[in-house]
Amino acid sequence: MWKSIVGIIAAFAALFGLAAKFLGLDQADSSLWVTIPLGIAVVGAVLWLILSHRAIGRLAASRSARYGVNMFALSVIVIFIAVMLNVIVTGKRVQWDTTSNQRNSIAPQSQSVVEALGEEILVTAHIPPEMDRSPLAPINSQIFNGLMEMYRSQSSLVSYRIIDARRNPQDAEGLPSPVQPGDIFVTLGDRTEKVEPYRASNLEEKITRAMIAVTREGESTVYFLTRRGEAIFESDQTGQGLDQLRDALETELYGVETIDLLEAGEVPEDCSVLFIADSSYQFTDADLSALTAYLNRGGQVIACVDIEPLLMGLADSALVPYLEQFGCEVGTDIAIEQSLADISLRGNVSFSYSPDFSTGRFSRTNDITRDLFDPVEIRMARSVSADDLPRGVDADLLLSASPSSWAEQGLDMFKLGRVSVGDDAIQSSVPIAQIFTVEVADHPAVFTPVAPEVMTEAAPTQPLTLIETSPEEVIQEPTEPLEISPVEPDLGLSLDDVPMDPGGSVDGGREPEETEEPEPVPPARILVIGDSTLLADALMVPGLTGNRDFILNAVGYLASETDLIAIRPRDTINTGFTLSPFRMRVLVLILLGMPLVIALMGAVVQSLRRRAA
Amino acid sequence: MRATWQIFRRELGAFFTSPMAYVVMTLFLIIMGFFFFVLTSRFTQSFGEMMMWAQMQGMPPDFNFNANEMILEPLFYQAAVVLLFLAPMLTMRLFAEENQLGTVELLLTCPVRDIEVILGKFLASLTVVAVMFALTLVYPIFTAYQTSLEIGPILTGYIGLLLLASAFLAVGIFYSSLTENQIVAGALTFATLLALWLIAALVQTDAVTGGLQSFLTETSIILRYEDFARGVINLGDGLYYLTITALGLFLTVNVLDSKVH
Repeated sequence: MWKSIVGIIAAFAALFGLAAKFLGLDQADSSLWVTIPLGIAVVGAVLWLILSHRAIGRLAASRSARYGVNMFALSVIVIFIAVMLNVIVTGKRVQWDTTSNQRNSIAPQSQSVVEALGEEILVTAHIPPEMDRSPLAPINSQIFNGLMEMYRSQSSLVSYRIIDARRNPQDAEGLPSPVQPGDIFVTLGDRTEKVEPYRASNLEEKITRAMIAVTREGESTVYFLTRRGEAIFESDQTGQGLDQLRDALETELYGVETIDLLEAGEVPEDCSVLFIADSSYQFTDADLSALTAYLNRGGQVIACVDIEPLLMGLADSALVPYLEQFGCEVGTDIAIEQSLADISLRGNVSFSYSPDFSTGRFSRTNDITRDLFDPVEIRMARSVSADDLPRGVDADLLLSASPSSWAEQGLDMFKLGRVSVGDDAIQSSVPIAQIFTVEVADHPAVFTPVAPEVMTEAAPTQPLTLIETSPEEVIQEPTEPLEISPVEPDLGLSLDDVPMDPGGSVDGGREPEETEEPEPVPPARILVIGDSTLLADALMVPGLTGNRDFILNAVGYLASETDLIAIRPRDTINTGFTLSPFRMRVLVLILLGMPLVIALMGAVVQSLRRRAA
Repeated sequence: MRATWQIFRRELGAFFTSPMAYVVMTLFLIIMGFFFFVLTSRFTQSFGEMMMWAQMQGMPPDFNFNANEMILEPLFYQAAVVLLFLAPMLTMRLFAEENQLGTVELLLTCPVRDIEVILGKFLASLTVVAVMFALTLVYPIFTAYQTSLEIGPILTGYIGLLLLASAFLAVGIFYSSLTENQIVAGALTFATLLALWLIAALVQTDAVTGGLQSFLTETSIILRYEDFARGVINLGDGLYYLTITALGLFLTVNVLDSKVH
């Protein structure tokens, strides 16, 4: 009797104490709400054990009790092992995405970023509950969780959280304020990067870029070649500026600078990519010497070469003959799509090079263009061929015109707006953009100063005949070749400082220092594009063309930041269909017929059983 | 294994000579057929409207209408929901009836091991479920006749359903071994599975946060199925279902063992 009363009191006291703890009465009022009932419970339990010791002893000695204890212990061990196994395997996140376009996995670029993480990275999203309820919200918890789980499947160092900064402002401590609904932050140690404005379709790309930003040491800088004071970035009403390009590069966390090589004398050390976007740039000997030195120390260059100077009766860019030493032949032609040939050709014919259109194609063998999706729009492109590549130079085709296009060489007729597939046409899929990789140890860049009269022959009114004379006449037999040694590339930083032997070799006659091992020179790379208008603001609008992705990929590739290559959104594959009334009736018949057949089978079986019984 | 095979055959025969399997399969097909009809009708209707709109606007018919995602993926979820109700119906009889009739002692004193008995009954019920799922293959086949489908997500959907079903059945067999009342066994099974299911709803509230939220997310029986339905095979999710299955069968062995002792 007393045993039962004590036991019941102890049980109720324990329940009361735990309820008080759960309700937080110990913190809201007094800790006595919890300590007194739990104390009573403990005392009651001890009393109950003392009063019941005989019964407990008998129970413990029984066979069933021993068996029960054994079974309980065994069950606990098995459950513990099972739980541990699950924890380990779940933490590893091994998974296979069976969808055809891998839409349930993050892109290879994102994978490489998270796999390279050395410490834990935290992604924080401010998603208040009302965003989850709004169909117009750019993000909701489900989308964010789904994407972050994909990241976590690649690395357990990725963690994420959703906060409501308005209700719980303490959760937003340490984040750059103000924290707006939908804002996402990536934190690594004490570095926090806010994810750039995003859409649901490019959220992965933006988060990955923010991850790169917080993990990257230093900054990559892209230098645009320009004459002093020339405002090449400023947008104008015709959309010809490079404002969008600069914004895009800065969004990608590149530093963007301009450089006048006449003033600077050399390409700066921190130049990741030298961008020659202005096809009207008048190259001087100093420019080309600096360019040569830059290439010989493994420089990375994007060079756009237009046909427009030739159409305007000007001299071709001095870059064209310069590039020939790498086997790069920039044609004096214009790629024209046959289907567009009857359209007025003066200035505004647009060509789309995309696998989705019959007018052109990407190379799928290069990191730059492999995953491009939107068409790259190019206007009046000239061909860029790789002919007779010298030893140490490799070329990779990136863009080419469609098989139904031709390269028009009759520029006079083009100016008149009358072109046709005739004698002056090359009927082929001409290459539009190629990347040349130059092993400078095997094939150093060479520049021979050209006699001034050759370069200044071009008058504004001079017709197209210039192109016929340029390659052979511009490059003459070197009388005093200025060669940069591949052995000691650092010497090429400033040509004025380089001692030259009578033969012109930079290091000729010098004894190599035995104690110093020359640093290996990375290969120089030159991306030559037969058009510069693809960089114009009008064509760099995100989502409108693939120009932005193409250029950003190219810069990322040349800056050896393949992680930054644009991540193509994994669009859902359209497999929509409609049902004719007949097929709809067939469907209804199937859906009704199947359960009916099963039910009939059951009825028949039961009937047979009854008869047999 | 021989004993398991014998018991498997006997139980399977019992399923298909009694009305149980037919009733369960008929119900399953009616409900699944209804969902498939609704999903397909909604899909085709929306697609048709979008096509008309695009034609009127002179735009190319380039929409994100994916039959895998919009018809079959929700259908797999619905199959899991229906299974939540039907699995207890399949398992409640397995041991409860033996307990009620007193044949369980007879069975356990036969020269067969407990695990063989349990595996035989478990595999028989799983086979019934597999037959049920096999009948629903007509839905993807019909859809594939209308448009191109991705096979991968369909396969993973069915693999996930089988794993989910095995976990459900193992829990059901455990409760069936505890009682001689089939209704009680079915109710306990349903309540347990529902609790594991509703964890998903609890996780999405503000009531749980932090480590508890992570734990409950990993414990929810339906959240573990999401990846399978989307076309992703996650080793952790597969192991989770196999663990539930193994634990259910292990506890059943213990229950039967305790009856012998």
